[in-house]
Amino acid sequence: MKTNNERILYYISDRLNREERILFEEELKKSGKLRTEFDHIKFQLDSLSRGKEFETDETYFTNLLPKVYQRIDKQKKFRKFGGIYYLVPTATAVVVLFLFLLNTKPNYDTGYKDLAAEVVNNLSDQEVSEKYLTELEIDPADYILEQNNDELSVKIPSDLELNNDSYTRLIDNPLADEYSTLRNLSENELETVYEKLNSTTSQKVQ
Amino acid sequence: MQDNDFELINRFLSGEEVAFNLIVKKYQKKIYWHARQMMGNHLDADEVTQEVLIVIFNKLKNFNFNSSLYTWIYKIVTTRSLNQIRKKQIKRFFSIDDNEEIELKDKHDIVEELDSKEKLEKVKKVLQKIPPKQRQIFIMRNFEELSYEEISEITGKSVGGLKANYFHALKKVLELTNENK
Repeated sequence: MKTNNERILYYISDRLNREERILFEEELKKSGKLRTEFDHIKFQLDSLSRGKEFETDETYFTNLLPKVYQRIDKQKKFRKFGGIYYLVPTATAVVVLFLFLLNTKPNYDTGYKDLAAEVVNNLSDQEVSEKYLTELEIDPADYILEQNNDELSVKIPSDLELNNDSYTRLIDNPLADEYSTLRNLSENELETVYEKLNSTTSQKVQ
Repeated sequence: MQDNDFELINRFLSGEEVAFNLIVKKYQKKIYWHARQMMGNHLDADEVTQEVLIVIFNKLKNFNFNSSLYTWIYKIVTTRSLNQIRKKQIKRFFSIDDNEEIELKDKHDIVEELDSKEKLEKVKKVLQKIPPKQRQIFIMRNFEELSYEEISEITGKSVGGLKANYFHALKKVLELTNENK
């Protein structure tokens, strides 16, 4: 069963059918309690509704139209040139994306592949071995010896001369005591060796 | 009133921009106050009002004279207000609408008189706690005194549905009013 409160709200919201409405209105006339409750609810709703429109700062409404026209003008301009605003960044993004997609593999990759293809197709194994692999396969000590052959064949006084084999060992094992011979030389003999080495180096530079 | 509105529309369509100014002057307060009651603050109501007036300016050329200008404008106001509320809810969900902004919204107001401010605050406290669609119908019935038929034309909802919605709105409003006492 509906409470008085609910019946009042049904009545106000016009949810009662014709018969219910007539009955309710008759009861409203007869029942003081229902009348009081009804008046109270009406008062509450009316007090809220009194806040329809208030005294306002009228400058707001005076300035409203110019503000609206300003925004309409902006929209018109945007519609006119809007394409450019969108086109420039979009085109830039497309170009950047295109460049990015094209350059995902670095250039040296293709260069390396070309070289490899050339080596495989045009060079014999022997040529490859001679041109590209010799320096890598050679013993490091022999390689240094080969590169510095001239300097190693410096004329040293006969009693001081060291054979190449000694140099090789010296390079292989820098801690080897080959310099012990030098320790036995006098100051003058060392000076002579130094001068000879010095003149050989100068000649090479010239 | 309707004849006068149609005349204004025709004048606007024939290129007289002054006619638009007259339409704005005639309806701007109604638009503002509907938006204000829906949104609960001046800044959001101002945004809705401006948007509505811009839409009227741009779409008036499509007005088909089947309904009154008043109903047509109301359709725009109600739709825009609900959209703005949805936007606010999304912002709040992502915490974009921070406390500073809420304070700013409370500061800016065109209602200056203290008594009016208090009344408005009381209405706001109640209305902002009921669902937007119930709020909408409560505002149209109680503040704008529109009939169910008019509201039905504006919202596109059936009269029966509107009555049920209004009943629930009334129930909540009374509960909240008693709570706030």
